[in-house]
Amino acid sequence: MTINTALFAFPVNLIIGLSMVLAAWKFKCLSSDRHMTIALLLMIAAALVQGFMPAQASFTRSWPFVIVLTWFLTVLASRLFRKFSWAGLGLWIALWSGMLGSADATVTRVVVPREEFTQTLLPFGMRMDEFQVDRYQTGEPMEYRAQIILRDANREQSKTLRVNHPVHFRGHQLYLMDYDTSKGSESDYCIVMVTRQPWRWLVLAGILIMLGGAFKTFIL
Amino acid sequence: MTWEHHLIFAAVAAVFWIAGSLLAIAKFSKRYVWTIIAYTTGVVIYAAYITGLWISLHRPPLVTMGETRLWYSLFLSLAGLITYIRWRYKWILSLTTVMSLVFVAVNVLRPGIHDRVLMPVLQSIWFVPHVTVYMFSYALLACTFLMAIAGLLKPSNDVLPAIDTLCKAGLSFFTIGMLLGALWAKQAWGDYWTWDPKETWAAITWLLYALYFHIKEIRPNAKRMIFVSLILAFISLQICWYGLQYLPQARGSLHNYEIKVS
Repeated sequence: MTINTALFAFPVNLIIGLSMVLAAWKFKCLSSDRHMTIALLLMIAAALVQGFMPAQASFTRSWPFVIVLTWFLTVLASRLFRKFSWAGLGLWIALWSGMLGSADATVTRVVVPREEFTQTLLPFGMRMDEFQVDRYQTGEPMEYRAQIILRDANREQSKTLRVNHPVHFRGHQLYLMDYDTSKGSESDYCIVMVTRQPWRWLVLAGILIMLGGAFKTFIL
Repeated sequence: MTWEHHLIFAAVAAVFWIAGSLLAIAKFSKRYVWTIIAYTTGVVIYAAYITGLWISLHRPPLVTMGETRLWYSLFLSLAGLITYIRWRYKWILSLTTVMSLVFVAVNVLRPGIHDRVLMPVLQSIWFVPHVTVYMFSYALLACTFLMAIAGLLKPSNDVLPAIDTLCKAGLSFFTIGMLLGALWAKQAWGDYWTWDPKETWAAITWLLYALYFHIKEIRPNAKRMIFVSLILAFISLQICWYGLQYLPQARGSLHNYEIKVS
């Protein structure tokens, strides 16, 4: 049931997204209370299924869930045309671009060794220069720090990767995910997650608009 | 200040909270002022304890379930106080006091493990706002739950206007907590939203509160339906906060920060 997201890669996702807006604009009846109630109940049901399923079953990437979400967003768009609200618009943009953008997003987990540069489909190679674990007196980890050399066709540069401090490089974001826990600072490798999310700016815009809307509701 | 001091601070705060609740339902001319003074004293004492704990731990006390319960008790009594000042329901303080004390009692009986350790993923500027905003919204929404129960049991209580205001504020804070979490998740885990069990249940809770607002708008007279939607949303909120620990599929949640005893 899992959707093959490659089918929806740009520009297919954009066309579908614009059709949703067009349908919402064209069919005014979608903005009725009854449609909103049904869409909301369907969305709650879909979220509940995910809530009771094992996380790795990834129900949210299956056809039923995506269809419900698409329907919910179309009805919501239609309502927004009739009765505008900032929080609603922000929610809509974040969900719409999050859903459609996932077809263009990639996530790669790369084992980055000390000795040599990685060979992957990514447009750059990585090599770990140094790894360090700082610990509390109790032995619990306080900070992980990996010095990574990034190399593409033109240049080489050194970057520090820490948890909560991703590195941006050539349209990708790099996150420090794991290391050889048995060796600590002597670890021979670290695991870096490399993501590419071309639509992330739209999601961010939606989140910020919704934040503004939530502040506004609370203050007024 | 450590967890050993919790009992004494909580006991003194409880005395003031109970005194405030009793003053609110007593019959004398200046009860309004005295209620506020007594209840505020209780809130300040409990807040002083949390502040002291924060200073002595050298990190915000927001990591373990036990620590979030401290904030919940504090914010719940604060939310009750605000509701009392604003709407003067004389019964609200008794309800918030009982609920705060339930969570205080859980903390006295099962304080959990508390030390200075703050794991790398929690070392972020988003940590304190994300969790405190959430705890405050939980407390406001708990208030609406108590009022929905009061409304169901005694239909003569006109609680809907107060529920509406509290729910608006509560859901705004809930939304802010969720969005701050999304911004943080992008930095820490690589994506704004990953359908982690905690996120999924936050989404369910959010949708159920949206359903409440929707029902209230299209069926303003269906009071029972409105109250029931609030109660369902509140149950979902409890699953989101601590009920998840008992769901088998949620063991692997990224949000599990309880320090394991081995």
